Amino acid sequence: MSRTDHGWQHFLGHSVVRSRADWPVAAEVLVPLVGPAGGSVLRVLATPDIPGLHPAHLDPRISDLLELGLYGAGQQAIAALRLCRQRRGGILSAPTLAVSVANPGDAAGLSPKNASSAELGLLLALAIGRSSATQRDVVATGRILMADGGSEPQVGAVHGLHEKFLSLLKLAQEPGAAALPKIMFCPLVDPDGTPVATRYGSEIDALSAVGASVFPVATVRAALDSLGAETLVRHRSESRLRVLAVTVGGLVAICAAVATLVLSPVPIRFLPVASDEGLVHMSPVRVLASAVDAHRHAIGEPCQIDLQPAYLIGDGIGIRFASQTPDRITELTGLHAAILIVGAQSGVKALPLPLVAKESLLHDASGKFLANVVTPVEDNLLVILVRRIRPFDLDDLQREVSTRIAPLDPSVRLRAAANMFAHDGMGALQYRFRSTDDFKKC
Amino acid sequence: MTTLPDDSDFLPRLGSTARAVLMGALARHDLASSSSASKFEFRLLAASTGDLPEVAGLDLVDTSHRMRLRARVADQRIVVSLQAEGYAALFAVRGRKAHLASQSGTIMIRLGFDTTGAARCDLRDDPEVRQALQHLILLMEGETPL
Repeated sequence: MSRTDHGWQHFLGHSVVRSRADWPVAAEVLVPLVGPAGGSVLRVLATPDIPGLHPAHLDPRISDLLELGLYGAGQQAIAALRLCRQRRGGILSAPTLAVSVANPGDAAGLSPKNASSAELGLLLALAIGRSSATQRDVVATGRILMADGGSEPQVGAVHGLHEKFLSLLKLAQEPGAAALPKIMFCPLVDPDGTPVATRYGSEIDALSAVGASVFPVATVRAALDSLGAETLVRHRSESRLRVLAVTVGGLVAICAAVATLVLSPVPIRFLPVASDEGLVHMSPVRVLASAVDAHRHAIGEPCQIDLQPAYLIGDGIGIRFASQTPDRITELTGLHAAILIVGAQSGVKALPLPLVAKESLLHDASGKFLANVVTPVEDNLLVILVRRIRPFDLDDLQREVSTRIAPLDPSVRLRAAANMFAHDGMGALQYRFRSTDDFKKC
Repeated sequence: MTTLPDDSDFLPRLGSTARAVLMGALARHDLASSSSASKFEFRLLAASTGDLPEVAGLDLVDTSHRMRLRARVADQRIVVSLQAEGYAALFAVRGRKAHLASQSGTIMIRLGFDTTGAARCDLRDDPEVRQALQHLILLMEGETPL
């Protein structure tokens, strides 16, 4: 009664509680009973409508059964259901259900002493309601017998099966009545040991004629298995949880992929350049001093001194480079480049980049530049740095490299600088050369 | 010399007594008429178009205004709920069996009222039964308690 809408609540403009008719019925089990007043058929409903705490601290899942004398049968059903161990359907627990009787007025004369045959029906209402079974309504009668040691609950014999079959037939044959559920479970044998299928063949046939097939079962497990109720239904929130997890996971994966692409080193390589004469040389190429002044591309291979490329002071170093693997990210973000020349004696020089393209942002993922070779005579390391998103701060870069190599001996500075850029995570292209004033050798 | 009692509250006390007598008489009449009730009749206003009555949300009160009938459709069934209204009607029907029948004879269902004066039955959902819902009679079994 406490969960039924009252007129005064509507009058006050709000509905405090929900009518039982509003709750979805998870399962419905018809339970034929025979009492002193004759046969009747109870409609046991399993719904998510859990009653509030009972003053006597009864189990709220079955406290509604108390007034009908079915509370004890409900306790037996819950204990047996625990032994059946339905498999979980997901991570979250299946929803909790409570059982109630939709037509308590039909249950005249019931008492705990003659209500044990409702145990199977109460168990099935809870089990089907929490399962993923497609058949949500059945008829059931039978006691539940639980052996010691937690073995499978058995379905025990009940009295008055003939009257119960007749009650169901009568219900089905009433003009205008709804059809019976398609499946009925009953004990395998009568109290005297006679098989039910043998003794009540005619009643079973009559029920089949009105659409209800009778299945005598020996165990509760057999009934659950035949309904496909061995697995618990997935919690309603679990689908949303999974969608949320997949969405978050997808977003994290996308962000990680983008971050990986953006922050990953950009592999670059040297490209060939063509001279005015039609000769193709792989850069870096030597640009003759006269050609630099005249803005002509008189280029050629650098000379070799001690198996190392060498350039005369005053000449230029022409370099063309490109990203090895142009991709959509690179096209969108462009590349930022920085050129450093580290001299073993003279220190670090960050060149204004690129000298030819004027812009440091290389939208076509390739670039070229011309660096003048200046004094002193020394070994040099030319480094091309490339990265996405952020441009280089040349002053900071020059200061950082200088700070790290200045304390070192000049003989190891170039190697240290090379190691530094090799492990810096950026795209880096290195080229060692010597600046020389030896006109004879070069 | 005798003096008359102060009659300043005479009229209010007379009015209060009259109301009490009237309410008592009405209650006795209500109880007496309900106790003798063994039949509740539900009539749906005839649809002008001749269409089948709409079952979803159907909410009827019997001609004596003592019994409410609600119907809803669930799983290819029509679930009919009956509820006695008022103490007199509750006293009359609680714990008793009844027959819900249609004028046409299409429906003849036996049902029982619980201690709260509620009963329920499930009908098959087909046009014939829907048509029969237009005129229903609830017949109580046995003797009406006094």
